[in-house]
Formats: sequence, structure tokens, C-alpha cells
Amino acid sequence: MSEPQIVFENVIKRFGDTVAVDKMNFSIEQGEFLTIMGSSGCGKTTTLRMLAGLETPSEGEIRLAGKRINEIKPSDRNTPLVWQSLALFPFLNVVENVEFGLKMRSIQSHDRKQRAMKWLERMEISEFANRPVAQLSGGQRQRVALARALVTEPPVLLLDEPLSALDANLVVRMQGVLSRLQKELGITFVYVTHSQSEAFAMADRVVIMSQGLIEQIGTPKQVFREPATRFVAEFVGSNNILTGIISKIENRKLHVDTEIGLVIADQSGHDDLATGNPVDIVISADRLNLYSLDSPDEADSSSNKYRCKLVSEEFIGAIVTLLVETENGTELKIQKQQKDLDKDLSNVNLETGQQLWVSWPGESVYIVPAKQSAKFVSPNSPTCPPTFSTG
Amino acid sequence: MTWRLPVIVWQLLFFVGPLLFMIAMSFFLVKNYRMVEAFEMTSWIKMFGKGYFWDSYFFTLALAAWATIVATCVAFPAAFGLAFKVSDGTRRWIIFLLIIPFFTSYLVRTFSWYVILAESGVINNILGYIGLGPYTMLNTRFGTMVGYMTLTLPLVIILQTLSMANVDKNLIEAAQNLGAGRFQVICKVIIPSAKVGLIIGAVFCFILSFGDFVAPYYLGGSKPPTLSILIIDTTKSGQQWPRAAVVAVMMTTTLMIVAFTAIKLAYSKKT
Repeated sequence: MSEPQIVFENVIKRFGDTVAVDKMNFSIEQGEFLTIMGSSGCGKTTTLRMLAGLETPSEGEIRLAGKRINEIKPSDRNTPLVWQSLALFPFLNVVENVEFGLKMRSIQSHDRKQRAMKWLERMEISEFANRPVAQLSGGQRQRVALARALVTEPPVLLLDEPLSALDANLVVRMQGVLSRLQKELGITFVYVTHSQSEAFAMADRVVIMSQGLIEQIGTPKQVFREPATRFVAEFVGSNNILTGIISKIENRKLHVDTEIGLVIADQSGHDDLATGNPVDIVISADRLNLYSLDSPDEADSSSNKYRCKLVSEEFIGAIVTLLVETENGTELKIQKQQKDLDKDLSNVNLETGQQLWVSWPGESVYIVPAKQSAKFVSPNSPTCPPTFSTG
Repeated sequence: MTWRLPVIVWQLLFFVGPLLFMIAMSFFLVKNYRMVEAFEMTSWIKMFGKGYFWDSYFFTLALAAWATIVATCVAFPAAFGLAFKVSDGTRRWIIFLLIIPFFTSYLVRTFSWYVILAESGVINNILGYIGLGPYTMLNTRFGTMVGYMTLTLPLVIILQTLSMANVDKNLIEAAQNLGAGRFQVICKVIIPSAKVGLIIGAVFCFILSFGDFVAPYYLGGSKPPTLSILIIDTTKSGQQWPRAAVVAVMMTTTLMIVAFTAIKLAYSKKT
């Protein structure tokens, strides 16, 4: 059984007194599209830079293809990086930029040109080969940066928020380009971003980092539906998070006292929990339902149902985001397809201040034991995360 | 347009005016040690026909070119260190220290080299202790070069440092990431990125050295004379202002061509 392509073993990186990356352990399989995600300063870029050799770990070991690479100079690794700023050489034209890596490897001029042109054709920018970089659009420059990085046929491509400078339309197009490219080449992509939509659109697995620590590693779906910690729940997706204490366990249902009252959740997967345990309750915004007060009691008895009033309503295309307030002042966020909302509230004319029922089935509640999340809600934590986190 | 007016007036009054006058003067005549207004080619024909003028011209050109090469090469490692190897605070202090020499007159600084370079000066004394020398350093081209460096080196270092400190660090890392070693990073990224500053530093060095008379006169012994010394000699002996004007026009033209070519080179774009 061979080792994964990239292994981080107890890697620590300090800058002076600050710990940028703390005891990091994870591995990346050959051919995987791995996204490292987190807010700024969480250590995601430092992790990537250590892979490229631009930073040296303070402790621990990084292995590439089974070989320790801590001490290998960046120029001796074949781990090209696509920079956030792209870092194209302004004094070279497009094809010279792409040739750069080959030139550094002393490849003959003719061969060099041919390989560079092949990549420009593949990225559909061969017509700009002899233009100065400054004359290209953002998307075209992006393609030059990709061609420049891939021309040396590396085993791994590192990408540091490469799409953050592009406008929304172009981001979606480039995501498609990147995904397809990664599948065609079959090489490993390590992609750093703060954007959840970029991460989920492309990644096989997502690493979520906060304050130098890995919070969770999993598929986008796992991270989205089963957040390992409160931080992940807040960072990813559009979740409602309630804090409470288990008051009763009955028929494998947890009864939790929270700020909005009693919430009932399935115990499945949490056999270790006992009465009196503090827990965080995560309910994805798309799992909440709204009903008018006079509607028949559609929700079954085990579900959670609270009286609330509408605070605001916001349309983004086909999706509607509603903010409601329960009777004791807790705000909940609901995301619905417009057509589903029309069905549920067919007899109501929605307006701000409207009294409604909000409900959700017990199985849609996800429990995060509070002991794992204790450090993220401590009052001395520098940035107090908001209750809702939007994607 | 109104805002440009003072600039235009200033340029006309203090640059174009004197320049035109100098050009006009080169066509004047000298009769009985007095300058007479005229429009004759006499001085031009005289100066261009003299071997010593051309000797002096090419000698000055070569000296200034050497000074430019030496200053650029000596300044580069210093500026490189200042731009990349020290903290921002240290760099600011050193740039401040590099400005201090300009506080004192260049003439004074040149004379202090006298004491250091003389036959019985500081350097020869020290060398004497270990049984070397004495070496003749004054009144040699070496002396001239020392003077030129005194004049130009701090400025060239400052210009080079500022241009290199502004090189995008991402580009340097990108080059390393693409397989460039230390030497390749310097040649393929830093020099092309800092090209404008490096060339402007060199141009300044050339202009200052080409027109300087202090270094070649006091430290170089004025033999053979540079063009600036030739101007002094020409005016001193026989009031030959028109001939001196010919030399001056030639110098100005040369500097114009050099500066124009260099700036064009500095800002040349890839097509």
C-alpha cells in the first residue's frame, strides 16, 4: 500500500510568535482536486506556500511522492503555483511567459516554443501569443497563468485564489475550465479559496481551516450537511445554529433546551450524548418550512414548530431568503425555491411583520457536541462569528 | 493650458534662451581679444579641424562611459542588498546616509581625496607598513574615476535601490516557483523589472561624469584634457568664447542623444 502523493505530518509554521499553521496532519491522493478553505489569516495560503517551498515548515515534515521536501528549494520542485495576482511577467509577451519555466530548465528554444504554443492552443489563447500581457483581459491572463504553470507537466498544480479578481460570470466559466482540465490531466490540484461556491463547485474534498487548525476534511457534501464543528457550520452554507443543553433523551430523540425553546432532534450517530450535555444545533436554512397560522397542522407531532414573524425577504433569482424572528427574538434564516414557497404559503400575501409558523422535521437537525466547539465561542476569541453565515 | 504657462516661460527663459545664445555665440568672431557678433563658421571649422578636439571628445566619452559602467556595476550589489536583504527601516536609514554626501560641496569632497590618494597620503602610508607602494594615484585616470564615483555613486545607488525595492515580490517568487535559480532570478526578473531605474541611474552617471571638470582637473591632472577642461583652457587663452561654445554645443548635443536613446531604451515595450 503506497503512501498518498502529498503528506503533511505534524507540520507547524510559526512567524515570530504567531502560529500560522498548527500541527497539521493530512494527506492528498494523486489526482485529487483538494480545496483548502477558510477566512483570511487562517493559514490556508501558508499551507500552499509550504508545498511550493516558498515557506519552510518550523516543525514537522511534508512529503511529496514519499520523499521529504522540507529542504528542497522552490526552484528544484516541480510544484507550480497560480498566483492570486497571477504574477505574469509584464516585460515578457504571452508566449515568453509560458516558455519561462521551460527556459529555466534549459530546454531548447525550438522545443520550448512548440510546447508553449501547444498549451496556448489548449487554453484557446494562441492568437495572443505575441501580445504583451497588459493587452489581455482578466480571463485571458488567467489562461496564460494556467498555461505557464502547466507547461512543465507538473505532478501537482497549486492555485492560490486564482479567480478572486474575476467578475462573477467569468468565475463560473473558469471553474468549468479548471474542473475539466484537472480531470483531463489527471494531476493533483490543491486550490486555496475563501469562496464556498468555488470550493464546492470543483473540489473532490474540502479542508476547512481556522486559526491555523484543520476543522474538518471531507467531501463538499459532508462538510455542508455534517459540519464537524460549530465553526464549520457557521463558515459553510447557510445554517441556523442554536445553542442548548440536552434535557431528555427519549425514543432515540434528543430534547434540547435552546434559546428558542425545546428542539427535538434525532440521536442517530450521537450515542455518546447524555442528558445535561451542551450541544450546538445546526439546521440548514433550506430545511426550514414556513406555514400560515391558519393552515391545517401539516407538520407531524415530532417536528419542531415555532411561532414567528417575518422580518425581511430577499430574492436572488429563483431562491428566496427570508429572515424570521421567533417570539423570544431569535432570528432564523430560511432559503426556499420561489415555487416551493408559493405552494406552502398559497393563501398568504407575504409582508414584513406577518405572523407565521416556522417548522422543521427532527431528522433535518444536525447535532454538534459543544465540547468540540468550545474554543470557537469563547468570548476572548478575536473575531466573534455571526450567528448566520451566508454562502 | 494656463497652468502650463509658467513652465513654458521658465523653460524659454532659462533653458532655450541660453542654449540659443550659446549656439549663436559659436558663430561669433574674436578680433583683438574681443568678441564680435557675426555669423561665420570660423570657430566650427577651427575646432573640427584640430586633432586635439577629437582626442579630447573621444577621451571624455570613454571616461564617462567607463564611469557609467563602473558605477552601475559597483552600485548594483549594494542596491540589491538594500532592496532585498535589509528591513524597510534599515533601508530608509541607509538611503538617508547616502544623501548626506550631497550636504557638502563636491569640490570639498574631491579635495579630501587628495589627502587620501597622495604619494604620501593615507593609503600609501598604510600600504607602506606592509611593504607595498607607494603607488601614484593622483593625476591618473584612476584618480579621475575616484572623483567621478564620489560625484555619482551615491545617486546611482539610491536610484537603483528605489527601482529594485519596487519590483513585485510575487514576480520573484513566481520565477523561483517556475524553476529559476538565484542568478536567473536576477537576470530574468529583477533586471528587466527594474530596467527603467537602472538605466536612469546610468544616464545620470554619464551626464554628470561627461560634464564634470573637477575630477579630471584635480584628481586626473587634466592630461589629456576632457571637454570641460578644454572649454576652460579655450576661454582662458585668448578669449576664444566662440570656440568654447562650439565645444559646449557638441557636449550638449552628445548628452541629448545619449539621454534620448537611453530613455527610449528604458521605456521600450515588447510588441
